[in-house]
Amino acid sequence: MKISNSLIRRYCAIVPLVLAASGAFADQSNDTLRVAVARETDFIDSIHTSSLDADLFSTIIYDTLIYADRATGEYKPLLATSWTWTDDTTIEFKLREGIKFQNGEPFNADDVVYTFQQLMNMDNNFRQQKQDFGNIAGVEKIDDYTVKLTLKTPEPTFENVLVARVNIWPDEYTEANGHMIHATKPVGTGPYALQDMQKGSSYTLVKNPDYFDGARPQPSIGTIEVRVIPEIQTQIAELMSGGLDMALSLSPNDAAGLDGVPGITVQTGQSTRMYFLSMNVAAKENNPLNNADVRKAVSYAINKEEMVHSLISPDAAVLATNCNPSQNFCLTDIEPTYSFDVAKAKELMASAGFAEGFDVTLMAEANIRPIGEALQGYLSAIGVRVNLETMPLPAWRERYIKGESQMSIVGWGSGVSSIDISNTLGIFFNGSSTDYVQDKEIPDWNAAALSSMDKAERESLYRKTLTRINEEAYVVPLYGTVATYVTSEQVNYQAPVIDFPDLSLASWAK
Amino acid sequence: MAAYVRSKVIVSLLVLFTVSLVGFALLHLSGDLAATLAGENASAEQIAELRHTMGLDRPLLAQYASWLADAARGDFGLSFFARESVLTMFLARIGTTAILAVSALILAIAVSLPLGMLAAVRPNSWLDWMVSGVALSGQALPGFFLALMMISFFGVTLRWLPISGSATPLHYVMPVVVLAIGAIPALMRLTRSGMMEVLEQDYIRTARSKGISSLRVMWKHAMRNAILPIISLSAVQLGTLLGGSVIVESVFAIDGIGLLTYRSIQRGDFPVVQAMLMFVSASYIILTLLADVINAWLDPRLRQKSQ
Repeated sequence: MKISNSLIRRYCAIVPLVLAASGAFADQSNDTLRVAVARETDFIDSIHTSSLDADLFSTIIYDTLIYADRATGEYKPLLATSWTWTDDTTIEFKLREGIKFQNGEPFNADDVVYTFQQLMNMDNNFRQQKQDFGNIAGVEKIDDYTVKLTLKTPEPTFENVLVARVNIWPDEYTEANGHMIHATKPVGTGPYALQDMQKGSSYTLVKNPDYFDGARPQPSIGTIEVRVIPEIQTQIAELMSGGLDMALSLSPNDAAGLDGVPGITVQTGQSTRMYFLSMNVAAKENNPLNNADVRKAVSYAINKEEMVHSLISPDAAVLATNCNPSQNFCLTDIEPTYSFDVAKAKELMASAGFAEGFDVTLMAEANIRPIGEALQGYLSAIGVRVNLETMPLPAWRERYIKGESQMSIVGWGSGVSSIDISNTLGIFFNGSSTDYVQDKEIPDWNAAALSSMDKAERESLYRKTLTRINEEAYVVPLYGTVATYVTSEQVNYQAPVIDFPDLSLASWAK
Repeated sequence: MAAYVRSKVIVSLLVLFTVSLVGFALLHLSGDLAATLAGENASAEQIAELRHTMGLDRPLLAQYASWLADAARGDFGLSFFARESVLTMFLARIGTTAILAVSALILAIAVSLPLGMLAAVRPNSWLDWMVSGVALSGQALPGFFLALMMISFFGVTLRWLPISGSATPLHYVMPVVVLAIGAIPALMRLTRSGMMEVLEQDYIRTARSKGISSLRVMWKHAMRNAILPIISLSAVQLGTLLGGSVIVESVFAIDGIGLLTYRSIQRGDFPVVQAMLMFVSASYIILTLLADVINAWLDPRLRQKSQ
């Protein structure tokens, strides 16, 4: 009996210790915005991690040289007061004076030069480093508040990188502690500073009282507390019971269910992610999809409006060309288009010699199974017998890269890297192993468009590519995803036009 | 006794080894880890490069051998994503999970022992039927459903209890109850059947005829004999609770090892999943072993059988 008594005593001693480890309740009465995300963030600085939610933190802890206005999408000067392209590969930045980092370090050209030098050092192994920063040739301090940046070759999408990926670091702090310090103890010039984090479960950020007046408004809410709640139903329950002020990872269906609930505001916005039906055009032997008429028949057989609006969201964009209309250079007036027409589809199948139909395997990520089942249904009407295989995303990607896909539902793009059409057309039309089309000209057009600084020329090249894709029915563009912003009505937060939220814009409604 | 324990330990180690091998193989066959790690926009070349630097292109057995060598020294490697020692991540969370599991077990025992005994004293009475009914429904209800129903009722409708997180003791009420309800049916049925068996024995009748009060007969004479299987089962239940809080911790967003396991499975963080698998099976095996030893110590008959 003695043993169990001491066990009980020890157990009772541990309980309060663990309970005391986390924070307390919070709400408007103590000026704290409570936000839920579904996944943990391992590193606060998005340069070190591929977690989408890291952008949520980075955006408000750091400033970039150029800021994307969330209401209009317009690029505005932030840490730079101006930027000028002196030629196709050179940008000159004039920097803002009199700004301090959250640790008191003054901001000047040395910080900008240091940050770019870190980004250029490929030994640092940052996320997507080669892709985003591999084209930087050099960075040079002209004077204390002027910096010149040169690129190796013209890169028309480089400003997108500046807007989303280049958070300016304080040089002394970073040099002294190593760049990994930003993963856990970030210091920027931004409107909020990280106060505390319980890795994997909660993050507390406080307002930067010395934030400068610039393109971003002054932060209004005192404290932002972000909690990881993996189960969406639990997030919804917290919203309904007043335990949360904001949830950003709800699906359109979940959000729609909350529309009309007293006290809750639901907003939707277009995300840059899109889905299309990929077909193996390139395989030569025993491949009905090699035949353009068959692919056109497939395109005609699918009732996209019905499928997308009932299964995804009434707000989701139904795509006629292979890009998301929220992307730059996504042209939506391309001909021909394929509207739902089963009779025409059957005719095309017959003239292609497939009146009896054929068997095909459709691969899809497990969470879009309903879309796969809808496609299965539509295609069965023209005799195409679809064997639907759903799997986790990594398994699908492995097989897709290996060239094992006959038909796949492909979801592509996230956040800022897909703000330009080049991201979507990139790896699926570049002649690589993920290019199931292998068109003779498209890869060259795309490459030319990616090295031209002339907007009109870029547009005409993308027009050629998108037209060829539609003429040949190389893919069936399906839908653009919808971003949801669910808040309590105490919170003022306008859904951004671009798909990366800036929480510093939130304020109390009353 | 020593020989008895030694043979049990050897069997336990073999089981643990088998679990580690099978788990390792299954995890590595479940998908391309390098593709997950490289991030969505990575090219095929980047993925291949990563696979090579992480040693994932080596033969499976070679990978397992180096994992085993490290694990034997207590080094379970780094999380692929958090780039933090798996052991550190585990130690930061085990306290929370232990509180959940031990509290749930205490609650389950506190409910099932008296109810099981009462049911045994009055078999086929309305009380017995009620106890069986509760046991049956407790077993039939999936944990996540019960958890969501409780959240909806006590959290949203009545607003009596906080819904998610582990900030205050109140946050533990719903998760502990959900876990306990899962453990109650087996404990209760075992108490009932064990007591019924013991109560029919001659020495109970003797004790009763000596005029000892029926409560005293129950506690002093019957319980001592009926408790053996309950100890074994409690140990097994504790093992199940430690490993089985995955769903409860995810639903209530409690950052214990269950949630860690859930998230690691979701994103294919193999070193963490493998270590959690080892922890759950090890604690299961150790607790069962402990129960066997305690039983042998309480009951000399078991000890002698093995000699």
